[in-house]
Amino acid sequence: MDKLKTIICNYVDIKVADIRDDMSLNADLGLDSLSLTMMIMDIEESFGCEIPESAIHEFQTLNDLYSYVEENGTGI
Amino acid sequence: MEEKKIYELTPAQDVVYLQCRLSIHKNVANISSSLTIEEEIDFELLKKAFNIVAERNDCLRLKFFKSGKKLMQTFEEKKEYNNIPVYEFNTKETQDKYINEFIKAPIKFLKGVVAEPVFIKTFDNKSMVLMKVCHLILDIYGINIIYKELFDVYKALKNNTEMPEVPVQFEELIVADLKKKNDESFNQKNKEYFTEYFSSKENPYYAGVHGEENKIWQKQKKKGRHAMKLFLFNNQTKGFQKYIDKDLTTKIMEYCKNTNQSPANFLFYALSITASKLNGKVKNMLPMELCNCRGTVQSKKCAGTKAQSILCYTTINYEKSFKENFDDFIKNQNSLYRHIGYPDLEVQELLHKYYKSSYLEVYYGIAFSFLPIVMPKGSQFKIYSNGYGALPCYIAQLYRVEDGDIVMAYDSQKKIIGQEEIDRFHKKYIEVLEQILEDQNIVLDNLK
Repeated sequence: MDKLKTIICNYVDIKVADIRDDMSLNADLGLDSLSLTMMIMDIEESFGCEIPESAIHEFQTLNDLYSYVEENGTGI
Repeated sequence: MEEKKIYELTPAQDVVYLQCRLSIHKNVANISSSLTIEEEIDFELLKKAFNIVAERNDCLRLKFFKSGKKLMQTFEEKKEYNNIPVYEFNTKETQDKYINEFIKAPIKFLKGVVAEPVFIKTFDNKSMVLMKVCHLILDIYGINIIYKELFDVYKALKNNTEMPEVPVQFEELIVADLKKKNDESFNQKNKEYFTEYFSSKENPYYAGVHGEENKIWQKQKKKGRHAMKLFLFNNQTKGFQKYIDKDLTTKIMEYCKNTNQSPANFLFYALSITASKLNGKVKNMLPMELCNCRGTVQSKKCAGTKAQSILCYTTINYEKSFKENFDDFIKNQNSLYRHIGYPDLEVQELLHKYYKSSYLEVYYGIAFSFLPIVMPKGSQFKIYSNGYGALPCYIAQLYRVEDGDIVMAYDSQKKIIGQEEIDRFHKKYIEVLEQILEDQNIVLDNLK
């Protein structure tokens, strides 16, 4: 999860320590479309998995996102 | 002594330089703007502040030169902006005359001039910073950063307080952008993507701000063309300024916050609906987003030019609701954002190949950008038209965060668009915005 949070900090002006696992990508982190897309691409590269558009809309919290990359990724 | 690093142009800069080579108008690389404030300014102190800003922002110290046929760039360790002129005007006429001549004169970036600031005591006793920059170093977002920097540094000097945080340097972003530009596997994926993108969709139609009645467009359609003529020579433009008032802007921002959508995408789609309605309810169009391309926190703190054009295949399905249409649009946008950085020329080549159109034709009836502008409250920020443009109509929507409204700067080709067309388009745009904000489930065919 720390690796994921470090990536998030590249796209949201927030400290790693301030990111809660139950935060939502949009409402809490305030990511616009471009930032969200670029962040997802970064996560895909770091964790070795593809995250389809349909999956992104299903993530309610960071925990959901982390569970997805944990299950589908090769680079945890 | 460390050798100066030399870089090729980034994809964003490539597009600007291409325009410089193709256009007969030498001022095509100019972006001219001004910031006018009420308070009296110590212009000598402001000159000092500008030079500090140049030290703090490496993009103001860029130097361009030709290496064979290629344009290259390097950062100068030090660049002094000496002799910044200060003028005082007694009448609006003399002030406007000066400004018009200033913005028309091309910026001589191959002779080491990348930014030209001028300080003015206006005819109505305000203080103005007028600035002409080369688009190779700054885009409109970057210009906003520089103005904010300038006044923050000025205040720090005046009040003897701490300087603001140093912005992110452009060199960092150039290195990252060039890494992507030269990544063969990234480019191969992009080529495959855009090939599929264009070949899987039916030939779109141009949808101009002028509407379907325009005679030149009618002639094109009668010939069976889907795209408008590109005006290579007769492409003088004129700027028009319109507004989205504070009340409507507040509703737009609230809607976007509640639905987790970006204002840029919302406004872009609303503009597309408007263009479609004025063009006989065209279903498939190819408007252009001049995207900020600043996704990371670091890039948002950097003034260096990043904006790139993205051709967005946009479908308006009149049988569906606004919400359903917008959801489809967002999916398309997000997939396009994954491919930012692929050379514009390569995209154009694929477009013309699959739609059997010519390089002397344009599909993008509107080109649009959305930028939040943070300027002192009550200040007047203005972007000036260069007087020429390859785009039929470029619309810069500037969200004035302090004032709470949106300035819409239309820069349109005089040959096809005048005041009447702008007034009609803008009126329709406001009507569309009001209706979709009132009811996002409204079926588009029911829009007035």
